[in-house]
Amino acid sequence: MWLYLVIILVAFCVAVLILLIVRFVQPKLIYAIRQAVVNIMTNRAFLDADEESEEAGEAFRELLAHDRRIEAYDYDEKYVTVRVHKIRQLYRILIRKPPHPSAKARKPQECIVELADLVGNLGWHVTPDKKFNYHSTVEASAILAFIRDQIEKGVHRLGTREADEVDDWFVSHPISIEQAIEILNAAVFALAYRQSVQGASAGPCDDRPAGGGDAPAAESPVAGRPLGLAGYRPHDTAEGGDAAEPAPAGAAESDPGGRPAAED
Amino acid sequence: MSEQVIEVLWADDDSRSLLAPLKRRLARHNLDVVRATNYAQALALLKERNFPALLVDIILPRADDRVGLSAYRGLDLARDAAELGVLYITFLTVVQPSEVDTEFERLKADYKKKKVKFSYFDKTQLLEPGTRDRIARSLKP
Repeated sequence: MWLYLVIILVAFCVAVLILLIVRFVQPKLIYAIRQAVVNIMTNRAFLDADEESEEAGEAFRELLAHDRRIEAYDYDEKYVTVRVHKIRQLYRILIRKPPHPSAKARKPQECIVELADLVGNLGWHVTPDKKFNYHSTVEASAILAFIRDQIEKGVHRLGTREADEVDDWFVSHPISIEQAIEILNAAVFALAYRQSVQGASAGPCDDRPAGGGDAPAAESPVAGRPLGLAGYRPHDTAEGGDAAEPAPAGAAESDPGGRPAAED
Repeated sequence: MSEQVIEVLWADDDSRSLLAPLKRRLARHNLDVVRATNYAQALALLKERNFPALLVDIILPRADDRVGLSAYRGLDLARDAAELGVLYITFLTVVQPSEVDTEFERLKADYKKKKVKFSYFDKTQLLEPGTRDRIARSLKP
């Protein structure tokens, strides 16, 4: 009897260990399995809907959101941009009102966390290189001023052709580390300002208007601001960009986590 | 007499994964669905064959190897399709109408003379009773 229990316990531990190893060594395999499970469950929801089950609609909405919550496991351009595309869709699903008051609260802010996760993953794989210092850096203050001006002008998006031109420009002119930092600084400053005015008691979706979407910006979010953009300057480097020399070949493999050895 | 089969182009990156079972339902309505997962692929198919109907997601990747910055490429595909003579264009998307109402109204106005019929369906409501049948009907005369 005890022998069987010990054998079962050991087998269970080995299975968990194998799963953990696969999770960290071959995460794509886990995600492929997860995707297959989601597809099977969706198929089931469609069949339930054919049989006019009342739960099929809500089950499908959950699966739709679940399918878009894919964890960052890669950092190539295609994977990353596909994930951004999915997060755009996820946000639009999560800003909907729950179908009934007892339904699980939706948290559109998780999209910020998902994107931050993606940025973190990309950040660890950037290799410092002076060849990307070909243009000056646009500061966080100028980025936020541009956003403010566009909002005041009522310009919310570019036409697709113009967006494609911007897309192509950034492919042919890869961003410097410093510029990426300034873009992230702008986002962090804007979120910090929001944090200072939204109130500690606000719930996850308390600011969501009835029609879905985030609330409009507060009228004057300056009171209690912990840190201002005025006087803020990006890193003082002579060329205003990736200052460090390129990491030696193979440096990316020097860390078990795949982090490049040399940082800016 | 059996109903005529209508060829439909379905442009959605979910069409081969999460939403794949929808094809089965559309087939029951005599719709022969050809799937494309991005704008470039869909546009090539539209130019190659005369589809009378298009089912499209507004948030559509630019190409297989490039998603692109624009979040509303499906609207461009709808305009291209209308230019190429597609008469029934249905959006199936998570984008709410209020987000794209200006573009949607402009599309309807621009192709009113060509008698292009535009319809909108919320992807999150896909499995609500009757929705899939209404989508199928929107793609036919």
